[in-house]
Amino acid sequence: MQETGSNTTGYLDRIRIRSGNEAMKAGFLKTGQSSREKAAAQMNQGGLRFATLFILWPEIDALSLDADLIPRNRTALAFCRRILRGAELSSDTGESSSGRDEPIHSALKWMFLTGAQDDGLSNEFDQMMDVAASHLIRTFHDADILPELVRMIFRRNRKGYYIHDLVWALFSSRDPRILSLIARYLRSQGSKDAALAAKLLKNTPLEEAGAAAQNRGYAPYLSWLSENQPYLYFTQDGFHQSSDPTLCSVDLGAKYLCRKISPQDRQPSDSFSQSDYSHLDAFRQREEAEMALLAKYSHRLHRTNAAHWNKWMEYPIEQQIQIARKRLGGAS
Amino acid sequence: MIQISGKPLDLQTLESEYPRSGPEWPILEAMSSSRENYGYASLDQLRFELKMRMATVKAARELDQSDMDFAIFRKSRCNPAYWSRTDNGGFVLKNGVRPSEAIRDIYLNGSQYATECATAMLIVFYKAVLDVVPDALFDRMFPEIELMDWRHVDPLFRNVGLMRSSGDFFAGDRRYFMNPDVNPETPEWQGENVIVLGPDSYNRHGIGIHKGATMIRELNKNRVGGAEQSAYLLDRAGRPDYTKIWEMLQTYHP
Repeated sequence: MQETGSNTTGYLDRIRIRSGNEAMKAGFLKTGQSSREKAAAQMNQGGLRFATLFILWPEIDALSLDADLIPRNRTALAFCRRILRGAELSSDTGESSSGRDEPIHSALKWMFLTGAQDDGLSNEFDQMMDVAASHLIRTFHDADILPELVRMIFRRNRKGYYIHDLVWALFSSRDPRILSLIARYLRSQGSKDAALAAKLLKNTPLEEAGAAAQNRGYAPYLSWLSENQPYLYFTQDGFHQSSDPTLCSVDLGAKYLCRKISPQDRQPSDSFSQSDYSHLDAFRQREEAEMALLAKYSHRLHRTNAAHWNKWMEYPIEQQIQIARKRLGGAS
Repeated sequence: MIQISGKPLDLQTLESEYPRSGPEWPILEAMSSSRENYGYASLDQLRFELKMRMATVKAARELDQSDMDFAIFRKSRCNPAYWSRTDNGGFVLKNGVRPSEAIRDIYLNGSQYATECATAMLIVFYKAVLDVVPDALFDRMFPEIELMDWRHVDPLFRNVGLMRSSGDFFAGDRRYFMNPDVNPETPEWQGENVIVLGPDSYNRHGIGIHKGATMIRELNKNRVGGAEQSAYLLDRAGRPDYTKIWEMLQTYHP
């Protein structure tokens, strides 16, 4: 894979940070008019950030510098033209129209990771961040960007900026690690952070705790997550269709059987046996609260004493409920 | 079944008021034959819901005929005389502006507006209420309006935003076509918010009025290459709090 970024700051970035966008643009244009090679070399430096390339896009076009850029920069610009101007990716820039090739993956990752610190630059730049994130997650299944993606969502939310497409991309990953990344914001001093975290982590003990307790809910949430992670699955809900989407949920049946499921498609890691299905049939005929009680007790008993769990599972379901209620004190 | 004050309604008694060939009759027939219980305090309350549903269909058709454009939230626009555009692409009612006039302006000066389908759905429901209650009551009901997505809905439209699983669907319902394999570059095609206009007739802002199969075909055109899953219609419906709106109308004194 190509290099996606660098810890050093490029020459053009330093000018931009020190003197501002307009000074950088004017200087770059002047350099390019006297020496295209020198302008291309500045643009192709290792530490370049995507925001600088994006800001200099008109000057690159004016100087017809495309052919002199390294493939990563050409691919990034071609991608911007495609998303923002409707142009097709073409073979002469070395990109495939399928959008699934490794050079595209590498360029998108560079765009996203070096662009994150400049998010908010402009509407079009932020749109490119959205598209880069959704491609990296949905097309390339790249989990490396998840921590930065979560940070970007919360930064934008604090400013009241548009977050829908980033949230959609994040939950498209169907990666349970995002839950603990989001949960950290429950501890935030900022009320907007805590409120968004609670909204995204819906359907968890936070709801039972109430809004006032949400910013103190970090530890209980992690405890809940630890217990339920093997049984979590991601839904297809989203803010595009619902005011209160359930983005992630617990499969109570799987928890009752103590069988891990895939968070992607809710399928059990190992196929259910005939006996499992018989247990599930009886389980699913109970009320929601009873199912939650049985699932919680089953999981805890299985973890502490597998032999007792095997015995308990052989009891009729009414007796299972009776025992669970007695041991858990009716908690669900 | 339909119950009025706890008693089953004989549908025949409404046939002269709502002819079989009219748009209300399929709703009455579906409610009547449903296993769900549709209970009303009075016949007038049922009449009001039918009126609201017809107003919703009319508002959806009128918005379709208006000059309002489709635009993603990042490129949304609105008439600054009535609305402030927020940083996330939504519209907030300006101070000192009458809510009734602001909603009506969207229909009168549609070319000044562009937004996504979720916002368009909210506009339709506001317009439907505006068409059945006096302006002064509307202004009192909705002193603050934010038009964006389902995260920002008035309590009267809470269940429009939530959507509930349902076995029955009627004209005036909000429904959703889901497109799970959407192209990552066009997230606006991840699904379609629609208004049900009648049996297998849906209106979506930016696409127009079509059958369900056409909606699915349009969504499928915007899937990622190699997609395996087709778009589909969710079995959920979003409905305003008709009872509350009815009660507010009953207790309104100019």
